[in-house]
Amino acid sequence: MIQIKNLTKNYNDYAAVKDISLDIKKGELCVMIGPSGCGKSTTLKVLNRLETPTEGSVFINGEDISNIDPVILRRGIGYVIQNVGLFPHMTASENIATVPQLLKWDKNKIGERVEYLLNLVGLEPFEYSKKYPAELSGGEAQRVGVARALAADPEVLLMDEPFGALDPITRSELQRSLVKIQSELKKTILFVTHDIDEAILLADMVVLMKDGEIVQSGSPTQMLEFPVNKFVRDFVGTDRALKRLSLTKVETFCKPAPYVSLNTDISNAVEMIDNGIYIWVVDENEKPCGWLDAYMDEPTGFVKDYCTIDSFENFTVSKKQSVKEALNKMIKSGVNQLVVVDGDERLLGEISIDDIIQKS
Amino acid sequence: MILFKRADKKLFLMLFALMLFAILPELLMPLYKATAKIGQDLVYSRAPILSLLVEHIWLTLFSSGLSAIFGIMLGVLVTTKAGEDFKQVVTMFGSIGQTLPPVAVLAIAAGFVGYGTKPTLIALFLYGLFPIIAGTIAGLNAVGRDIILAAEGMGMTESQIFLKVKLPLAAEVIIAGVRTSVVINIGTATIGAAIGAGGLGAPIMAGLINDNFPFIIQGGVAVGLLAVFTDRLISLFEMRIRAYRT
Repeated sequence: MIQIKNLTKNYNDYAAVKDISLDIKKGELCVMIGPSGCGKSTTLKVLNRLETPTEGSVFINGEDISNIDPVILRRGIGYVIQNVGLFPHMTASENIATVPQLLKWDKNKIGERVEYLLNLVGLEPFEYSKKYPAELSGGEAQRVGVARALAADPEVLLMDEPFGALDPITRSELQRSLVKIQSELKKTILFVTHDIDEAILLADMVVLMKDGEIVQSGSPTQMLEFPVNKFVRDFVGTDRALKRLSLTKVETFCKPAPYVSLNTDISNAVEMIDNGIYIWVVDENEKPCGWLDAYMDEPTGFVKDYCTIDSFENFTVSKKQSVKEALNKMIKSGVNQLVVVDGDERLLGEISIDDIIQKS
Repeated sequence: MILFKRADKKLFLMLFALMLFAILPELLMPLYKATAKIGQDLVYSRAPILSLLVEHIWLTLFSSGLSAIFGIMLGVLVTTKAGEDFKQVVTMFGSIGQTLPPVAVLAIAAGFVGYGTKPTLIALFLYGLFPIIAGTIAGLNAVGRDIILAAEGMGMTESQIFLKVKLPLAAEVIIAGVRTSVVINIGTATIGAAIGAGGLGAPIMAGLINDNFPFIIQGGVAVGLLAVFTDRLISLFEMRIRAYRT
């Protein structure tokens, strides 16, 4: 989709980008990361011709962008910048409608598109469409910024430290929104940041740059597992084993676990405890509701008379959550294993701390 | 006029006071009596204040109109990439126009085009140019770098960036410059009377020459009311633009 070939950019005597080549596949989110002045933003700006390469070329969909009128090219590429740059004299809707208007879309079509996009970025159209940028919080403004970039449904999206100016809570909200949007739209995105956690969370491919050169590129897992040199190791941080767990889904470590229902006869339930310690207990909807310990004096009756009931959140994780989150919950609750549930909150199996340590 | 959807009480009050005084300058008779020397005329009688007011408005409207057109054009020109080199020269000329005493400009202009309205218009035009150029440059330069970067990155052409983004955002400051210029010109236009341009300067000049204080008051009060009214009128434009983006 995007091919950067031997790109070099010099400012007078200073080489900002030195002969870099890169392929970004369709639907891939590529995060360019590196310390300030490493050339990542310059590279991004070459893609929509805000910067002209000194040498080398860029192809989008096989076409050399130096042959495309910059104005036409830019209308086909979404662009999000760190300080948002919303037009203060236009409402959120008018801001979003900018590119469709430049492309002379039909009015009704623009209206529908704006409403769809506001919903997509998590802003209620009725409440937000008529608001001016001055009335929006930083996070809301950047949501509008993202919607504006997506307005004309571009295939390519360029995001230049889009969440860099936000507070940590808002930033992680927007990161999660982006993950959701990307899973829906599958755009080809080049995302620039200097935040390694952001890169690991979002990227299909990470490109680590230093002094205008690519030091290492690959999937976040590769980067964490096999850093090519000390610079990469330092950059990804000493906690890279933990970071890798944040990339692994709970389902990878999920193993089947026996369970009984609240109304199971207690003597049958005791026989099913195969680990000799406990068995999970589910309610009538197969939603985990607690556990049954093996040590009981001559039990009679049903499971519900003996089991420990706990609130759902305390001892379950969803299969889609990261192992890091599961680990966090285990530490917080002081337990060695958690129930894994599927999207409908039904019991799927369990994940244990021993498995995480041994298998990762 | 959508502009005055909410009737502005102060504006109408000022207009009312101005018109009332222009038609009936006798209203301040006690003041004239108190300040006049024995045997002097109390009310300027060579022309009614109202017709002098109309003359005065024409003088300032015409000169300020020209100042606004040229000032905004020059201001816009020097903030474009092509005109950047002229920025220094234009602002320098503007400031020189501002530093010269209007009487001197008037004298020089009279040397070229003779007495009457023409030299006055030239002097007022040059005098009103600088605040407008300065306001235009300030307004356009104040538009945030990020806003322009976003506009450029979205694929707006140079002229679209100017018309849809820069100009609407700079409008408030540009109009503030125009307001300053017009208000200055309303006051400065009085000296035109010295070379026969008429206007509300006429009673002031006559008063100064003949040591007739009531005449000076009549011209002065009318000019003052006109200036205050105009200032308010243009302020409303500015507020309207500001309200547009809350």
